[in-house]
Amino acid sequence: MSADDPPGPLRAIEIVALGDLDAEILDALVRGLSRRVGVPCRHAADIPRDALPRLAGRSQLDADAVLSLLAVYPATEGAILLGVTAEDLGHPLFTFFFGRARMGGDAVVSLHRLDPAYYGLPASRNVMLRRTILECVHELGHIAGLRHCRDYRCIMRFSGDVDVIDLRGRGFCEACATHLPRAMRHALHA
Amino acid sequence: MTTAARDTTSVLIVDDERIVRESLGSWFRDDGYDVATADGGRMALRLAAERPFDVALLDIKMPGMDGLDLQRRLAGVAPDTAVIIMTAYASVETAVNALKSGAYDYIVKPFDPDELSQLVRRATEHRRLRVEASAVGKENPHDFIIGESPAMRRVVALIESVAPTDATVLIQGESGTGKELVAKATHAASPRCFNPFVAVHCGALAEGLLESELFGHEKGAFTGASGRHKGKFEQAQGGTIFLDEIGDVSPKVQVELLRVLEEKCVTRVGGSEDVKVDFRVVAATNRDLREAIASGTFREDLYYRLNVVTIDLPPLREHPGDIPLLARHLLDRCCHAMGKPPMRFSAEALDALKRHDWPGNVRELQNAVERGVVLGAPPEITRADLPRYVVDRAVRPMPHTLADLERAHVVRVLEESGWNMSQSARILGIDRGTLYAKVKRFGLERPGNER
Ligand SMILES: [Zn+2]
Ligand SMILES: [Zn+2]
Repeated sequence: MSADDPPGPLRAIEIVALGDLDAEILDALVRGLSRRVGVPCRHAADIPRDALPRLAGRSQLDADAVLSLLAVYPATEGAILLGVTAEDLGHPLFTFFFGRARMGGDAVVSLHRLDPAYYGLPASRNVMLRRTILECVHELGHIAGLRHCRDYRCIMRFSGDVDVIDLRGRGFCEACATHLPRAMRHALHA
Repeated sequence: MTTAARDTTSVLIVDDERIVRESLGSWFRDDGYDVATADGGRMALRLAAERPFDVALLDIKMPGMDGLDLQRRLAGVAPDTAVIIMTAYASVETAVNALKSGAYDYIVKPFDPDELSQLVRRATEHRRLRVEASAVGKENPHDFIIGESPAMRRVVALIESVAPTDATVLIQGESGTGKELVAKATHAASPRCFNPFVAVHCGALAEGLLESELFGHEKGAFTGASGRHKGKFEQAQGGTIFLDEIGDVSPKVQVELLRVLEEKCVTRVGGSEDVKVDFRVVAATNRDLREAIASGTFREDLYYRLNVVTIDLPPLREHPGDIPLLARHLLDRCCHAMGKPPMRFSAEALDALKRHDWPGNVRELQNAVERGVVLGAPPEITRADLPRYVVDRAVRPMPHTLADLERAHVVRVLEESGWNMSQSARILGIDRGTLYAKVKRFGLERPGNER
């Protein structure tokens, strides 16, 4: 995707609930993300549990197959589809992903490993929501064409560990911000 | 422009499964790596021969050449590349074997993203440290120019003091004394070391060819000039150009060289445009340029341009005390290069090396050592393994008088002790005062004393 050839300005983010998702969490996420990004965010659709692609022999969703599913899912003009799931996201070659995105396409984020309860700590809905929103912004950065950034102060820093999500910056570093296409800059980098 | 500025880590992924190459490739690309992929050992070796990779990830199970096979072969082509073996759970034991044979680490499929990311970062760091360690060695003139004799110490000190400057250097010495090594050492110890070192052997080329070699040419400048060609001066941009056998350059090219050195710009043959170039010149000659000036074959003004600093490389026969050290150094290097176990010289072989007068200097010594390594049965190289002429000529021409013999002996002892008067006197069985008297009477001069 080239920055000279914008797909038109980003107008909305449409959240697709993948499988069973607590309605309150979904609501809080829609509100939180709306505050964080500069475009409206809404709960657009649900894909039932049974329709979700899974990895053979593993109790995980196949992240890339989920993205392929979202790619053919109807979306409003100018909107990005953001799949959210409580299940774990996996990949044939990787044990898990917090989230996964395609440049110029859609994204999926899993709550599974973002709740402190996953690591044997007291469960915290707030911590989980905060991490989920940050992870969503990171994946939106990928959709906008950004790759990972070495800067710890930047949200585009790769995280394979939940600590990194908590430690890295909440926004884009200057270098990444300048690479955001204009169509998405207003939404991601206020 | 500089190689030092390369901060993108390069990763080679070798796996017969397309999905692995693609997923892993895009994952690394997203993480800012420079990625190449190969579907098997053959392709991997070809890629690795073309350019160096910081890290290679090899699948352990591939049809044809498996990961361990490939790892061994890769070590020959690209010894600095850090190898990570990718394995399925079932073959961890094999992966452990890979570590024993020199792989940096292994990782089990499917990969934990965090583990993979950290592993590759550690491997990169490991490789960087290794490359830096060997580069530091290369920058040390001592590694090129070996010798404990005062004459060689003076050469090394001169290189060290002149290298950091931009001064033009003229190296004088018989053929085989290592003039190009001195030029390289000067370049390596200079701030230009990350830019090119370009050598031109001026004596080997006809006038017309030398011009286009040095200054480049435009398309159609002469018959056979099919395309535009950058000359050696342009190729040396930011670095050092080494003009070997400068004494053999024709008068016409001498004029052109003088202009380039003065104006720091070149005009390509058949072109009209001046190209600005930044270079440092190191020239070398085995001829006496002052004599050439006197006979009118070398321009005096060019000589003074080149001769800002002169480094005189003594012929080996003038510092025979360095022969054992040099021979041992060349032997170690040669054994290593030929994959032979470490070897040593027998006492008689070393004695023959010390007695030979080495008209071909260090290069001749190197040839003799190589021959010894090929023919010798480890761990020892004997007299019989050395070239015939070395053994035969090791007997120096017979001095005519007793005084000649005494003089030759005193010289030899002084050279071998590095002109240590007390030590030499002890060896000769005379007191120091007597030795000083003999040195004076024979008109001997300690090399390097003239300054
Ligand atoms: Zn990412
Ligand atoms: Zn950044």
